[in-house]
Amino acid sequence: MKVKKILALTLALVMLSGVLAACQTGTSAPKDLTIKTNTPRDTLVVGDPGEMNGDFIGGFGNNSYDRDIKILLHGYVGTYHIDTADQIILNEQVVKNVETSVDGAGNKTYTFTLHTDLKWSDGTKMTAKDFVGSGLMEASPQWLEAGASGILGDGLLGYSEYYGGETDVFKGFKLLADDKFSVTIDAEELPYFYETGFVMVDPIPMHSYFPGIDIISDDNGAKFSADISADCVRISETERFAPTVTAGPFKFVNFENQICTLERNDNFKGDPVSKKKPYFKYIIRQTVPEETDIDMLMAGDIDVLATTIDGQKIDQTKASDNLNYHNYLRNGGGALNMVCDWGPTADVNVRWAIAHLIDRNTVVDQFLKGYGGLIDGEYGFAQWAYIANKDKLDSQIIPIAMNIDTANDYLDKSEWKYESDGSTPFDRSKANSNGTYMRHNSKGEKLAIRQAGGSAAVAEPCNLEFQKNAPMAGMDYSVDFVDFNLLLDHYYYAYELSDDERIYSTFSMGWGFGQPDDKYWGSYHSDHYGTWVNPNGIKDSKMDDLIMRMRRLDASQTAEYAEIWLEYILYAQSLMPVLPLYSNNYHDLFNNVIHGWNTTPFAGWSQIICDIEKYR
Amino acid sequence: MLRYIAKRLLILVPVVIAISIILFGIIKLMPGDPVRAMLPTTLRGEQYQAAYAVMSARLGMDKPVPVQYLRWMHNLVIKGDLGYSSANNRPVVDVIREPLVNTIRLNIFVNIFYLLIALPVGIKMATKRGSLFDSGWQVFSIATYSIPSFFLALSLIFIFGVIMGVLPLGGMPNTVLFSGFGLMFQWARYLTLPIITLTIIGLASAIRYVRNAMIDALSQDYIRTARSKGLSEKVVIYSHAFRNALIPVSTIIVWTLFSLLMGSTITESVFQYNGIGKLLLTAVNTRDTMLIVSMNMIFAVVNVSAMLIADVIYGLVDPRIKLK
Repeated sequence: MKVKKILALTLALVMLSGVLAACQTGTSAPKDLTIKTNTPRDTLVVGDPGEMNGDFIGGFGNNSYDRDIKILLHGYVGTYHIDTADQIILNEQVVKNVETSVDGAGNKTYTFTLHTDLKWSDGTKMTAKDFVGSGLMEASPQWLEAGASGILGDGLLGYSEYYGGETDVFKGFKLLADDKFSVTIDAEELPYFYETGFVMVDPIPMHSYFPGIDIISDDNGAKFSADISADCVRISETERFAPTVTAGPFKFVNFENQICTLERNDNFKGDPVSKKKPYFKYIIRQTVPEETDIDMLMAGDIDVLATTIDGQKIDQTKASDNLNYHNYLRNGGGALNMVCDWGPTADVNVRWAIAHLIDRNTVVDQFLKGYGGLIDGEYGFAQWAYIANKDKLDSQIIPIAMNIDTANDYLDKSEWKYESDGSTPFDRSKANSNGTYMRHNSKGEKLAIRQAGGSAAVAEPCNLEFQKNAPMAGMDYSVDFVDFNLLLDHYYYAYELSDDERIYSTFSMGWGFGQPDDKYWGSYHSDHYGTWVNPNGIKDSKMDDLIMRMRRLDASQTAEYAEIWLEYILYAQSLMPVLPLYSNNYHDLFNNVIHGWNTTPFAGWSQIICDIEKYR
Repeated sequence: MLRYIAKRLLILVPVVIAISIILFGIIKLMPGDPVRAMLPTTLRGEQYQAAYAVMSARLGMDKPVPVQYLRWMHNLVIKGDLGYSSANNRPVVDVIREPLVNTIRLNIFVNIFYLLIALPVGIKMATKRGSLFDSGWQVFSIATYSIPSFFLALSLIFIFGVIMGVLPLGGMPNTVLFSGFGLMFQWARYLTLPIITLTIIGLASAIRYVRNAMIDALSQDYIRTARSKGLSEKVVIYSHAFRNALIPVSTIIVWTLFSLLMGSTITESVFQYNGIGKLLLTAVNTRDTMLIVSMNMIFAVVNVSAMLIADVIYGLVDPRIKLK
């Protein structure tokens, strides 16, 4: 009997210690566990739960975690550079001089003269041929056949003919000398506010990618001296996973078991802005378990945990004397995207009603544990156009708040204003949270909205809010927790479905802005109606006009652009295709030994690598 | 015996074909287009269409499903080509290689440890039936059988990684920063907790299996006869009882060998161990259809092969069983 008691007690203690262990993860960490770093001084170890695919040259895949590695290997050496404030600046580390000219047909040519001290990681001299080769390769049919894809060259003279394989000469590029080349923008694309986007060219190592192949250039354009098909296939099958020659701040060493190791490229000339070279000899980017990543940071096994949104981990970091953090509001966030050309949400009044039926603060509190902000339109607080228009925009944009009366007002203006008989006016005083009294249209159809929710962390608070509030406005709102890929299929490719196959009116999505922020490709222009580019199904002449007025400005007309941008933001809000739910307050968490960590909404850690240092 | 094996192998062929058709069919019924997942979202009109057409043709997705199946089977049988992973944008064989090696590396140690523990412990439990030793291990067996593997893994991480700080919390060693004995030491550090977790999970059922087989053997008449002949207890147990108990135990030994190829989805994920189980989970999450089909085909073939070999070994070690 005594033995049984001892055994029972032992088992109970084992179980109890297990329970305590599991609970401990979510509370503040003991401080004496955090005073150390196990990583070498010349090495930066970045942990992230996101898995890399291992595609480390441009043209392959969408993986955002590969992107950091691509930037470290191939970034910083293009003709133009996007700085930490999201401004496109000439890369003076690479380009000695740039001249522009316009020919009789209106085509605009940028002629770049390069510095002559540029080198690849293997010591080979970098020349204009590497830049022209980049344009020729990325726009070539051979590159496409090898399974790669890209948009470099789109908008340049002769792009369609070259890309379509009608000719092997690309008129838009010319090799003028070892240190000089030109890029010509098609007159049809001009004026264009983001025109430098057309001439942002990153080099490729011609000697490594296409050994023995030269570039032939004359007044008609440039072309490869031989067929590049076999080399493109070789690049896609080998170079893509383990780049041998790079020009960015680091060289590729190894990618194994979700650990990518890079070594400093001593031939890298320096950051385009600070002119600094990287401090670290090695960068290790490794995938870490989401359940224990903060413990790994506290234990000193990794130096950094970037772009964290988990409130508990942020609180643990704040409570620690040995960890530090840097935070900023994401240039975008989470949103509720609404279909504007199908179902009840085709009516703008229904869309506005939905916007007033959710308390977005609850989503921020529940999903982000308070680490987030609210935005009422499609902009980011750090965007230059917002900063230029801040006072006007803040006073003119309609604040969106949960208000059932306002939602009912909007719905009374829609076709959904009857009881189930289709004729008796809906009486908002009869609406109840049980959902027994709903709005109908004149055909007797019930007002029912189905949302496709991807991440349960976001969809669940939405679901709770709409379950509680929507019936009070006579709306039957339900959230389906669907696979994210299925959500994308119903959102981006709904135009391929028949009306009977379409199910969802709203979608939990993310949103953000990149450079160039061309609204024409930003989903609302009617040219893209019925395609994946305009998934909300907006077809509006005023919207088209605003978008075209913005993009048809000359790059120097920033004041005019900011003015139209304000009009665009306000008009986009009035159409309510997207309800911004939150903007994440990103936190980069790092060991105290790390210094110079100044990421911004526009520049992640890989884009400020030359500023980061480490002290014991 | 050879006729039996040949017969079983012949039966395996339609079984494997049927499994492949079912797997392929189920995966194809899943909504979504893998080609879309492979293309960069930055592509515009004509670029997208062109890239889509090229990739569709390359993967054979532009053909009807039966043709896709036949093409896949043809490539599989003739070239050993398992297909193309849409999420990884490379051949499935290349995607599987590294995690498979890691899983085998992990499971070799797990299987050695758990057999080394389960066999002597199970035998001793049976011979000391009702003792403290027997009761203690039975409690251990029930407790560890009931504990979810992720809970056990997290508890071990907390104790050995967070509190004691002697072992890494997860991940895998860097093969660039370490080499030689240093790398071996790192492997040992990173493998320890996953090995302990999987060994404990495996032990729970194995020791009971061995114990029951031994109890069954010890209750047989020939054991009484052996004892009545005056043989020592050691000889009775190890020469008579254990050899006969090995007949059912041989099944778990065969499964142990084949389980080298099977990953543990949960444990590998918790430890961020880049094994075949974690890869399967990632494939499901990213709807990497060909990777899912191929991995399940491998698991199916491993399973049916293990069944065949277990049956053959049964026949070899137990002369009473006639294989026809």
